[in-house]
Amino acid sequence: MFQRFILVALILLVSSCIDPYRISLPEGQRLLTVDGFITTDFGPHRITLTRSDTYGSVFEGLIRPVSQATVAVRDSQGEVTFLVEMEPGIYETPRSFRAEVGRSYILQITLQDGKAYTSLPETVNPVPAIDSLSYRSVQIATDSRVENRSGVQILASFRDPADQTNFYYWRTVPGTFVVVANPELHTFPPDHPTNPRGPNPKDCCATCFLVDPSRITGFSIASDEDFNGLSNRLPVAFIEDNGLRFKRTYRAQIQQLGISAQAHRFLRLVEQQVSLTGSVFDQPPANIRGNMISLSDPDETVLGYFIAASVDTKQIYIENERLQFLQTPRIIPDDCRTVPGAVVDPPADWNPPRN
Amino acid sequence: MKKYKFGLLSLLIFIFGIFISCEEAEDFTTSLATEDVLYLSGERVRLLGRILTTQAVNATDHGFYIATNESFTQPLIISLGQRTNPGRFIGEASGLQVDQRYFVKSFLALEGEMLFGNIIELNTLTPAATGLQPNNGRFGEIINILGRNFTADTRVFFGNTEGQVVGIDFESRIRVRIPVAEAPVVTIRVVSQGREMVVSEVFEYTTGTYRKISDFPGSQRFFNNVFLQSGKDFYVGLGTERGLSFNSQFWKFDVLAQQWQQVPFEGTPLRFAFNSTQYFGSGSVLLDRFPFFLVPDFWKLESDGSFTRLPDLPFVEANALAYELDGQLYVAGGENGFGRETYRYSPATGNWMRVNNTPFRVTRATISFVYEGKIYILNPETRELFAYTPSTDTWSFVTNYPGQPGGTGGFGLVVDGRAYIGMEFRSNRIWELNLSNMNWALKNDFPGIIQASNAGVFLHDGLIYFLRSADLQLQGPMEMWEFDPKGFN
Repeated sequence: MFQRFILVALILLVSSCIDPYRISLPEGQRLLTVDGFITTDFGPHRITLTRSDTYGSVFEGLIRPVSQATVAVRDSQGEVTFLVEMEPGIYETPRSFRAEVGRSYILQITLQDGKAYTSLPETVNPVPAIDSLSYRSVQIATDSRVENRSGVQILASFRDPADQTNFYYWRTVPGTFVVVANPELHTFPPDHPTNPRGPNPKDCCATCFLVDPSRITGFSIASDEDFNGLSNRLPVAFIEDNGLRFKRTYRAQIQQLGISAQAHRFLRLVEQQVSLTGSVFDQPPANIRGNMISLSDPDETVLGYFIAASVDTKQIYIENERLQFLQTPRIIPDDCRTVPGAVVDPPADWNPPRN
Repeated sequence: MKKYKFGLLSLLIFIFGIFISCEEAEDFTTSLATEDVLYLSGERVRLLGRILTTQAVNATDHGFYIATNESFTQPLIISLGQRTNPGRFIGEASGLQVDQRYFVKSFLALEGEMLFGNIIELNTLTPAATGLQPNNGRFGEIINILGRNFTADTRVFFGNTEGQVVGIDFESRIRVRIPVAEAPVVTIRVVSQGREMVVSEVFEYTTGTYRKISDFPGSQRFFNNVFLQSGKDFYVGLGTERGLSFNSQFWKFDVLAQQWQQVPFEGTPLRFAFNSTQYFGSGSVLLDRFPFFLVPDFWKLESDGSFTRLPDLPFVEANALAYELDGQLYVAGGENGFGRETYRYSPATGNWMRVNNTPFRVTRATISFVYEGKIYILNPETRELFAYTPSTDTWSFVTNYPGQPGGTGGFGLVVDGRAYIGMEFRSNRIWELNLSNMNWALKNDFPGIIQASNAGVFLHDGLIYFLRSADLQLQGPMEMWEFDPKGFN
């Protein structure tokens, strides 16, 4: 019996000596990343240059801006427009610059170390105007039994020209909305000497205006192979309700861009990659080749895509009372000006339709 | 048992047969594409090709053919050398003819076999010169000529004199050194591959000549004085003599005769008074800088050279800025109030009234000038130029001043639609603002000493005159200088 016990103990002892398995991953490269586009609207148009982070078993660094590069946009007539570095890694065209339909453009970059990069030519294709924008309230089921996500889906109506092959790209410009606060509910701080958390209503201000600070901007794309020459009404954007945006009025601004087939293909691949859910039916993750090329090493991987596009922009006011699904409103028991970025005066062009 | 062995052997043979039969003879093909024209200008082309294959290539050479005909007779060959890996390659050629049709195709030399890609047709671009930056300067300085598709052999002529091309950036910006002037205003010609382009803007050489025309006939140095003008007669007076005593008199300078003459004045000596061309008033009657003891005296210089005392001012001020617009006097700012309040005096009615405040604090040291019924004032801190429109009683931003910030005590005068601004404290620079297109140009520097202030500034017959009162530590009399903005030598 004792021998058996010793045997079992020895087996346990040996089996418990597990060494952690350390995975040695090859260090990734810091890849030049180009992000930006030019349109037929007046500038400034922005191009952002960064270096991607390396990957490894631990978080090893930050995405760093690429500064002091010479950045220029050159059109098919040979007209060169130099971009000015406004912030580290952020380069802007002059305000007077705008792309012209029918011309093709390349982005030229020369880094501080002399390395030169160029984009493949991007031709500016015409884009039909947005006839109108509309919206509908939508609800998205979640794992939670108590609460679903909801938001506003924006639909664009436009007529696709029959005599062209069109590729569409819709972006949302950061919207502006009315911040509704409750200054009458303001209370003293908990460490107040005489009346902690006691009522301390403020006279001002219940409503402010705020440019949506969300940095995540969704996008939609489409090609006209399924609707060439037809009038369309397509969902182009989704703005999620965070309990604050749709308390009164939200102004959304939609850009409809006409892009090249190559840019459309690139964005479609990006869309596939960002919608990976981890299921077995997902596309395999991969680096997407853009249209930037290193002149010294054409096989160098450069991330990003330089887009040149024509654009039409429209805005729509979304009214709270017309939304079927709303999240529980977030209460701001204070002056609305305490919300970072909120101002009392509406934007100069704020003009919601009167009911 | 035998049956079992037979079955096992049959199974092994079957599996072996499957694996053997799955082997196929590999048949690799190599394709070549002339993918795109990455860059095209007047004389340069950058091409992108791609080798498409699943295996290594053992190419002895690869690159592009360029020719003016589709049969590629006598092609220009871009040879990129040996190549083993498939993928993209970039070739570049220069020295092409501008505005010429070319055909290009990629090639790959594979063990004696030549593989060609598809043919792309292209047209080299035409050079054009579109502008100058800046459009003025002096001999030896470098300016930029803007345009597109400039070739490496580009030459630039200022009139008939060739400038030295220092460099060409992105084939769109020529850096050229300004040659010796042959005339104050010249046309710029750019020649690329024998094609001549004339820039629509003309180039102006830096002009402006200075001449000392008179010394003040005495040892006085005027400070905090007033200066007035009546035609060819310039008046300087009051203020202090070196800050030690009041100067109770005026001196008149006849610019045609170039003679000085003392002019009696019966009023109270003043310092820190305001003055326009004809009017002066208020100011302090104490020698100390602070506190001011301000008086409401108000005077006018008549055309016969006499001084007329007008009814007292409804306000008192020190170092206020004064100017005349459409026959009306404006007095703005100063050091006694909050520095922006402005009064308008109507000589016809003798009434004073408040008008819109200036957009920033002003004193008589603020640079200002009058042009086409508007007063222009320069904010020394922000270098912003503002204009006042009397009909709407509004101020509006005009442009930015390229001179040094913080400068005060300078002058502003307009000659033939161009404002001349400068000669601030410790500065010898004058800038010219073309009021028709808001273009700034630097004039030749003042050759006199800069340790001096402007005791009087006058305009006569298209020439600017200024009386320089040197700092106390310097010797010598006050000097009257003449500045010809268009002077060229």
